[in-house]
Amino acid sequence: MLDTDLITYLAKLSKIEVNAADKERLVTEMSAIVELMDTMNDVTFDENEDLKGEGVSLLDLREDKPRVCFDRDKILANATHKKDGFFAVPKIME
Amino acid sequence: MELCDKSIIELRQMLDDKQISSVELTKYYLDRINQIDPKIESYITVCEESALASAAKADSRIAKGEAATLTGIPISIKDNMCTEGIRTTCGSKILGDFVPPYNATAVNKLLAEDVVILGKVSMDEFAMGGSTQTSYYKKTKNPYDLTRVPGGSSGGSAASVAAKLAVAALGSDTGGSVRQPASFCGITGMKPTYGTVSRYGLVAFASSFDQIGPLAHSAKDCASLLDTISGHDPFDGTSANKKMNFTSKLGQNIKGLKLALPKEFFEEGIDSEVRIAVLKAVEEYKKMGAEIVEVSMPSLKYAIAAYYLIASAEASSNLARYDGIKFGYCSPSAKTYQERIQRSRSEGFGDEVKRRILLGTYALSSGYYDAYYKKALYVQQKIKAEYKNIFDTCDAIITPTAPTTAYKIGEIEGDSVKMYLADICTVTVNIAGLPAVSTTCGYNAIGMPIGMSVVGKAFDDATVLQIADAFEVNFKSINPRL
Repeated sequence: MLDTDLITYLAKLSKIEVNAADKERLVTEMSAIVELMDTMNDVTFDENEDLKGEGVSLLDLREDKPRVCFDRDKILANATHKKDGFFAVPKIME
Repeated sequence: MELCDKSIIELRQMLDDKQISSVELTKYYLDRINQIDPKIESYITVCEESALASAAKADSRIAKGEAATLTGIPISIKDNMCTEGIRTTCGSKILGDFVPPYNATAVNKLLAEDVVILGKVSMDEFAMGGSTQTSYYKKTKNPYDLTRVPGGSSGGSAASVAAKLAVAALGSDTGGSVRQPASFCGITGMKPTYGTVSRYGLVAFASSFDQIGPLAHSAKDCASLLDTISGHDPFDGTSANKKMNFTSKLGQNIKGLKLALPKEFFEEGIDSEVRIAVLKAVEEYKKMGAEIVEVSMPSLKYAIAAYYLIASAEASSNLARYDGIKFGYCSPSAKTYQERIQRSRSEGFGDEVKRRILLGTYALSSGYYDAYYKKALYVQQKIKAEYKNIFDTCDAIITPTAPTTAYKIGEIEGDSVKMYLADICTVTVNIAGLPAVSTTCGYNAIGMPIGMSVVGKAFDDATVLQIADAFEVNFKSINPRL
């Protein structure tokens, strides 16, 4: 069962700020979605089955060779806060 | 016949014969965009200056007799493909000011042929939706009825082609996002086999399903676009190392081909007008000498849940990169490091994107992983096996592209569950990584287009296009009245 505590937990894991009113709304909306996902309750399978996703074949990776990097200023142009050629963030350590 | 009714092949001939220049053709389309797009709202960004510069470059190439198939042809690009120096929003507030420092591989391949990019077209935010109404920018309308949705998520691509505001378009398809809007807007759209077109520079949603595909007025035009944009790319680890020729079977007789109809795709939940139109098209294939076989796909009933679990799980991980720090929207009110990330994401993402991130996080979190994600992977294997079983004896599969025609704006798009269920006809193709093309097979009583899908074996994209083309050559399509 989804409740506001679970929504709070998922929002924390997802790094999304959710206010109290939104939590109530999300419980209703997400409960309906999870009910649809519960179709999976009817699915049974052998626990020993190999269920890896497709993934990327490690045999086909490109050679790990250095190449020309993107221009630093071009990359930083999309950041709101930058300083001395770096991304700038609020102080992390007090 | 007006200029905007011409196919890529006809325009190629006109350009090469100097009946028209690419600059003139581009100006013609820019004028149409200026006049008609305020009603349709398909373009987020129109690139007038760069389009005319590309057209002039194309004209010099044509003058030298060095034109490639698409040289000088004006097209639109879904706003989730990176275009160097051109804003790429992905339909989201969070990428409102994002100007990519590089081009997507598919875009580079177009530019190498001197294609003219008219602009970037609207889409559901992060390609999560089937209506284009979750776009933060343009909530695109259906050219056949402006009160109806164009489908989605590549609704801007589909509407721009249907309204003849571009000769063709690129879209992306994660669960039907090229085929369903093509169906709703009465055009042709194709999702090629997974790995055929590089995903490098395509804003990631669900990486194991995402695939770039063309939207155009015919299977022939789609094939031309695919010949240009496909090919192995070392910058996409899932790119297939296969040489493909999409035009190789066009015009070939389909006599003797075995076409499968999975009964579950024609049962309850499919609008009767849609079912009748698709079955009528199947009769046409019979007349052409195809053999029709009824088959079954029992796992279809689990497809929606499996698709949304896997796609949302991948989305929750892919969208973790939006932190308000490196690029994209940054909340001005955040004081601490954590607040900057959380508030930028809360204020930058729309409601549907947040729901999918939360669902994906739920499916992957401790205690729920086995009940949801692992089972979804199991269903994926079952669906692949069922497709393989059908293709052991059949050449292609015919289904409706969507259970309904385009619905009214505001009718269901606020209801996530109803929206998810509407993807029933398209998601299994992405789950299995197969090629599928949607083409118009009829119109309902109020004149809205009905789409039929042809699904093929992996890397047998040429057969899928051959079958769609065989129907199109005898089908009389109706233009939207604008």
